[in-house]
Amino acid sequence: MINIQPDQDMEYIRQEAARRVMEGQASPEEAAFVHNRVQHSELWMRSWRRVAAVMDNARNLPEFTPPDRVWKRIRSSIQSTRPDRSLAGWFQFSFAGRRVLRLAPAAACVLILAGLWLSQPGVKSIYEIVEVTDESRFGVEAEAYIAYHDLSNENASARDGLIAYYTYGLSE
Amino acid sequence: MNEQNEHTQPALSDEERDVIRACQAGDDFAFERLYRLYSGQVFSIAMRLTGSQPEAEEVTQEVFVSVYKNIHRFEFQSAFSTWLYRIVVRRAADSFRKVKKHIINRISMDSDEHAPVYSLADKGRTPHEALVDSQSENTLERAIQKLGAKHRTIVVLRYVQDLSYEDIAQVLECRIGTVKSRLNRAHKLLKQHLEEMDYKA
Repeated sequence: MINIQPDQDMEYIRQEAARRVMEGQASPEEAAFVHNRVQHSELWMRSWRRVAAVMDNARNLPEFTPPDRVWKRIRSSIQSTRPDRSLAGWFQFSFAGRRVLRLAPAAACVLILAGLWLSQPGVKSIYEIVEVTDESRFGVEAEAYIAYHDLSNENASARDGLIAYYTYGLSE
Repeated sequence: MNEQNEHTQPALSDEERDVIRACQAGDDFAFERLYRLYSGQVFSIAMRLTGSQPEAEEVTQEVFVSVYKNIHRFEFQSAFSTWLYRIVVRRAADSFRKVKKHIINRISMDSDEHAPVYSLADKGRTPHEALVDSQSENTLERAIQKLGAKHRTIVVLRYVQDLSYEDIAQVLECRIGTVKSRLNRAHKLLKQHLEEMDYKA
């Protein structure tokens, strides 16, 4: 057997209509109807207030503050995951939500700076510059080799090869 | 048509934006600031979704560790709170499932053990008003706790956190129509529970 309770059912209908208006779910006609009823009927006004009170109470429910131990646990937890960030993460950083290699711009900066520095006129090389002549090319041993060997029929590259070959004792 | 795409532009304050960018760059001090900004909201939602402080603490911890690891994935395409709440809801659901395996309903409605403790002097009310409001709030909290996980989540996001339908749809990754129908059902159940508890609004 169905238990019909007209007062309660009507109350439910009124509250549901009020909620739909407050939630912005009602059509303009429905909203106008409800507003009109609320203005002219005590029952409708009471239902409206009940729904509004529940919603206001819900919005004003207090915010809870987590105890300090929660942050302590989070901190120790993220410290244990930090190696991922400090090593792999160092080479990457997020730019507009995308991972970007940090190494590439850093390397480009180093190369540009080195190039600029070397191109300055005041910069001297660490190496001593020596002018190479026939005599200085292979030193005293070469002169001795030339003195005892006739290389006049050899071309330039063959002659240099022979002098180098014998001068540095490669024949042994 | 996908109604989820109809979301509004994310509203972030300059401070929030700076803090998030600093966190993405690996600044741990900024992460602590981020925690201070959002921990209250996260913990409150977790408290209401899990119904217990130890569970809420665990969920809050898991949420912020997850945020720390994944904040580089936040692309400023949605409000940060929406992105954050999505993690909270998922973690709370995981926690709820874990607890449910052992105890079907560990929150005793008759016991005040897990009932939130309110300051009677807050919100500029007189002690009497605060007491009446506090009783109403406690009743409301208990009625929310009586809802199933799905309906409780939607009630908390809509009525307590005051999220729009669009934001709720993003958090729950469902359509706005689903949000509305679920909310209608949740509201009906909430009303029933409040009547059973003789709620005096």
